[in-house]
Amino acid sequence: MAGLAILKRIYLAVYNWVVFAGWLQVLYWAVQTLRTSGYEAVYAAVERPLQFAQTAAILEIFHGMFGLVRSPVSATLPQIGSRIYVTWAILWSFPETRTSPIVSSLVLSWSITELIRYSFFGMREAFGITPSFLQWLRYSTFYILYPTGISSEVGLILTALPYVKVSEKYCLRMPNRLNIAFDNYFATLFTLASYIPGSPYMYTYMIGQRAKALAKAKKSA
Amino acid sequence: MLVTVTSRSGKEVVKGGIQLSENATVKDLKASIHKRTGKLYLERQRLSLPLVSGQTRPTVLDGDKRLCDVFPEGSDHIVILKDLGPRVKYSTLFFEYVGPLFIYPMFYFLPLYKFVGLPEKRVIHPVQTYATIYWCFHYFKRIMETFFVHKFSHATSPLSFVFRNCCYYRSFAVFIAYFVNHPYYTPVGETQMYIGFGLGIICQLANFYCHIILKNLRDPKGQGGYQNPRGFLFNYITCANYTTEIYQGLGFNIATQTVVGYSFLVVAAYIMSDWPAFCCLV
Repeated sequence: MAGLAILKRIYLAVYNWVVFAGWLQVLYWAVQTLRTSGYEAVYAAVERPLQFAQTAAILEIFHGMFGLVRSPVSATLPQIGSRIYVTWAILWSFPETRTSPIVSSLVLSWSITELIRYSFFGMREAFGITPSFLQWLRYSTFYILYPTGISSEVGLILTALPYVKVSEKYCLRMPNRLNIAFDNYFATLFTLASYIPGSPYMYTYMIGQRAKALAKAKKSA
Repeated sequence: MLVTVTSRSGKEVVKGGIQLSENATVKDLKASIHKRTGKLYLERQRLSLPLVSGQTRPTVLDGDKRLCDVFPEGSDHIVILKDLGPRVKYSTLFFEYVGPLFIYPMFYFLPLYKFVGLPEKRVIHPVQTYATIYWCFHYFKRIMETFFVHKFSHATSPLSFVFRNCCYYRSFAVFIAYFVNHPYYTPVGETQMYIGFGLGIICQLANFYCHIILKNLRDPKGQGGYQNPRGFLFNYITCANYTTEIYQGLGFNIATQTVVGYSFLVVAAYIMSDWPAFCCLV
């Protein structure tokens, strides 16, 4: 149905550019704050646009599930999962982490990657063009930005660990009628461990995507 | 006839092709391929015809068909061979059940909780003892059925499934055993416990009888092919064996009441609902 296809395209165009605008704010305020106040103040300056832009990305899981986009859920889920985890379960939940310099490297890595990504898809959906420079950026900058981003995520989680243990936040203890318990400290350690297989998986996935995209570009040239 | 055997990329797998009689079947072809390649036993081979324009999925060749019936008129006798990787027989399933059988009682008998900083001495509630017996009996029953009751088709599963399934069974066994035998475990009321275990025992017996019915369906010559089960619960429910399996799990959970126990039930039911070609009328 032509009508449905147009609707999908409008929705994706709007989605991509709105989230792009969010990340633009994050980058702007991060750079501004670093220039004027220093790294301790970066989180406070970017909190709202960061939370908005990052949380909106949850929609992308549904985009993949319902076939709106071609990305497999196996690649989107770990990516979005780790982002949401760091944004809410670490930075928002444990204010002691917010003044770390790692917040700056995290926010810069994330925002630059996402600006390239969302503008790439936004261009494609809204204008039907895929500028080769943008495509090159999208499939090349990850070589640097994935390691810096992932290291920042791991660094922040490590920073939060002692506070996770002491505060007992989000812990569920027994006895209770449902006979369930949850230890946040162990769960955080487990999450850290998941980065060991997870990071190479995501990195090699992008390398594979790059090969596919460049081969396609070569073919159509 | 001469049959050319290629890989999916078009490369010839068996040099010079295979010479077969006019009446040869697909099975004969597979046997010849096995002889020529050495490591590709029959269950590891998937033979299909080359894709015709418009096809997205290849036509897989069935073992008993004659080759002369399988190739379209006037086509070259080309088959495409896919190596399915190491395969295991269905009877290897029993190995997946051994894990839970030994893991669960460890949490009941051994003082493991001190390793997570919990008190060593604990009061053992009757339900915890019954649960251990129930759980172990369940997996013991499954292993016995694998050896003495189930009649498996010649179909096989990929070896990787064994690793995947063992992880699944053992992970849930650890979690469930951990919470049911926990020093701070809160038992349900006595009536609820009896109802739960009662339901569970009845369903396990029913499940066993379903398995007997299914076993008797199979032709003693192992002809294979699907036949509709009749009698007992199969008159009302298509996959009564899966249904009784799910309800016995429900019985266990009613008696023991843990979040992880119920989660296991949901996951298992979801997996089982996928199996039969027609939906399970639970």
